Amino acid sequence: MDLNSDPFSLFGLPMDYAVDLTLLGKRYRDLQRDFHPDRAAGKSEFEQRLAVQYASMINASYETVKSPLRRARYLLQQHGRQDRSETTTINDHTFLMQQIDLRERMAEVRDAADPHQAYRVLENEVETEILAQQELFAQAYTVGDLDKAEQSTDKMQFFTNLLKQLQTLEETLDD
Amino acid sequence: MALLQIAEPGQSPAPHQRRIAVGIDLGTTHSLVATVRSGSAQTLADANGEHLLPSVVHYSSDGRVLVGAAAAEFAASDASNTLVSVKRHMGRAVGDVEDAYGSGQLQGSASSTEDDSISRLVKFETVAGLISPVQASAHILSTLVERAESTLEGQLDGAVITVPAYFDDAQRQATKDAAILAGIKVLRLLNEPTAAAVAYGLDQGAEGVVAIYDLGGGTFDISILRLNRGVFEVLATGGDSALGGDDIDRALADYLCAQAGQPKLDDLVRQRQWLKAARRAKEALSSSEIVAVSVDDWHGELSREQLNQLARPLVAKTLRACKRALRDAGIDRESGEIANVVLVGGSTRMPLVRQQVAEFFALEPLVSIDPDRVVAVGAALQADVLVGNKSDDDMLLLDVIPLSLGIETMGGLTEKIIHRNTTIPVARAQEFTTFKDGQTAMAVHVVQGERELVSDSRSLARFELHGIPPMLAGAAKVQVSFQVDADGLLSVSARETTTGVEARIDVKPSYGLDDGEITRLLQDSYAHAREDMETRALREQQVEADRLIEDLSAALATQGEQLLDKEEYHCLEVGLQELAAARENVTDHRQLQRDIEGLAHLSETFATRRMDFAIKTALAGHRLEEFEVP
Repeated sequence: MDLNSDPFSLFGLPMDYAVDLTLLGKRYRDLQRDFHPDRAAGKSEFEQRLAVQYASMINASYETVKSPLRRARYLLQQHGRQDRSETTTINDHTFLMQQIDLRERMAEVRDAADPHQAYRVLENEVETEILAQQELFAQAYTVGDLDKAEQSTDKMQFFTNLLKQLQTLEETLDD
Repeated sequence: MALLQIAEPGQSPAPHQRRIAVGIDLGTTHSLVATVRSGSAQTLADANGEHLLPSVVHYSSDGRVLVGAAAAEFAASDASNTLVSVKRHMGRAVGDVEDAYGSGQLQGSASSTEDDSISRLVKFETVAGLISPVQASAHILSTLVERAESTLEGQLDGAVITVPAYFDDAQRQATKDAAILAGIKVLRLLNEPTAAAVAYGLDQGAEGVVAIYDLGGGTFDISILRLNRGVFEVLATGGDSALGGDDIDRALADYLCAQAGQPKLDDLVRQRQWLKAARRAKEALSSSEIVAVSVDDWHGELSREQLNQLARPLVAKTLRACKRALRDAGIDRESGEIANVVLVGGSTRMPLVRQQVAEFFALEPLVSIDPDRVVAVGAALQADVLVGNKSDDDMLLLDVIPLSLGIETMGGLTEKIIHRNTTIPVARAQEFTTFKDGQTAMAVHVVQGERELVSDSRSLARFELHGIPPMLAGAAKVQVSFQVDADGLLSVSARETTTGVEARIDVKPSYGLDDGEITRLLQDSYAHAREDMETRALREQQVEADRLIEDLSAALATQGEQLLDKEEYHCLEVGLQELAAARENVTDHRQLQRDIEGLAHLSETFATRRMDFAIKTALAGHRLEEFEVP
């Protein structure tokens, strides 16, 4: 058994960007009910190790299908696109200007009159952008425009990274 | 969808003997043991009817060790030989914990060097020699096991031991080491808030999103879970492994001391005296508005508002952790998604805590279950399932890793490999390459924490990979795999991917005991109980043998003919008979262990095929369902 088999089929779902998250969650829990290491407690060391491997694989597959960004990357890879999550550069001028603007505003959050409010405004904006890129990806992927889909994925990645940095910043606002 | 019911591996055809399993809450200020008896989980009392065992250990020069209330009596009179709150120091080096205020006399460490972190591990100076928090915890665990074994009239088959959800790898490992030292078979390390959720969820039949706010003596945890038909899925956890009621006691002791016009508390005996008075006053203020306090010849009084003033910053800190955990869980406080907030830990008896938590979640917290006992009760319920007393399909816990795991990269930065709040078990592989021609070794530094700089993170281990085939720079690709198991413990392996050569890993844990030290401590503790140890070990192996025989027979009966050819089947049958004979006749536990390992090894292929078959059945189940559902 190849532990890295297609994560969609593991959950009995069609390989597509649109995913029924409720059904995914249900099938994930059903699988873990059978394969979680707790089910192998008291068995031989080998069987326990095997259970850890299978449960890890199920968890990883779940993450891939559940996360809109990872799901997009996975689908692109299946269509022969390289995983560019580490090395992406974007040449979209408007997008770059927007990134610079967002980053400048992020740097100013701490000194704002109400830092928490400033954070919420920015967080909201970034989250809206992420949703918009997911929508764009879905449209492009459906009509088979992989270039466009890839661009959306890259932007999704940028906004997601920004959101993470923003959240890390927020955690230190009260310290 | 009823998956795999025909192919459930290990399903026992014959009813077996009930096994003895307990849940142990190893707490900062007190510890408990619980078990499932006639269908319900309950904590066990000592001979005096006390359920809570104070987590205090006293050492005397004649080698006698006292644990619990008897030890606590020496807390002030023989302060340096009486260790309290050792949990704060588990898996910690000297200097990690701000000060040992009230804990015990720390070992001087001026001579130890920076990278020699194992020798920097916290130890306490007592008349019985240097005692580590792991050893003291082992004494507490042994006391609880003795209590359980005498109450339940039998030997323990295994235990679930709880740890704060926010414990890092080193703290978890230290807890497991303490259990090994106490001779306990650890079925699982279980996160305290998850244990509480199990006790609460099964008791109330609750569904939906639940927040568990757990403020104990020395640790704080917040866990957000989704309860769904017996599945307890932790969505996010957060906290502080050095924040609890102890800190309020300390602040209060210092405050009272200043009120009394006394100098700063710098010696252990005075610290203990004032701490005791502070704790009493704090507890009394949960039901009164004002209390009288007296220490030595000083008499004063303290109001609840004064206590609240001191406690507010601490409570505010816990609420910030709650906020972060909710965000990580993707749950909006205002959405009404949270069905309940459960309070756990003795410190949640403080009115200030209850009021602030209620305000934060805009929900009246649930306090109907005893906040001291709920963790042990939850642990007992899981222990009962894991030891095999309960049928398999009623409960499942899906927990997360509390702190991100990463490695050191160029410039002292950390690169996260597994992010916090990822569901465990989890495995991730990372590829490294050589940067010099002919390079045959490389070093990897594993760290844990959320910060960008390695210097701000907790160092877990440094390891070196040897035996990389010499190649041009960048040609050798070493795949390092990080595996976090269901206890939240990390293991690492590495392989050179172009040639398939297994690289050898030398792991040097930054904290914790290495195998050699564990062996030495075990030998020390069993030195005068050698025979007892041999008997115990033999019994343990017999239980193991019974389990393997039972499991394998069941699997052969249900799937043997389907998944094995005649020869393989016959081979396992013979193996089974041989082990059954050895189980009855062999008296050397080492020999029996070898026999068990032999048969286990022989059945590995069969085990792998059963897992594969199960996964394929699951996949087929989905497909089948596709046709069934209109």
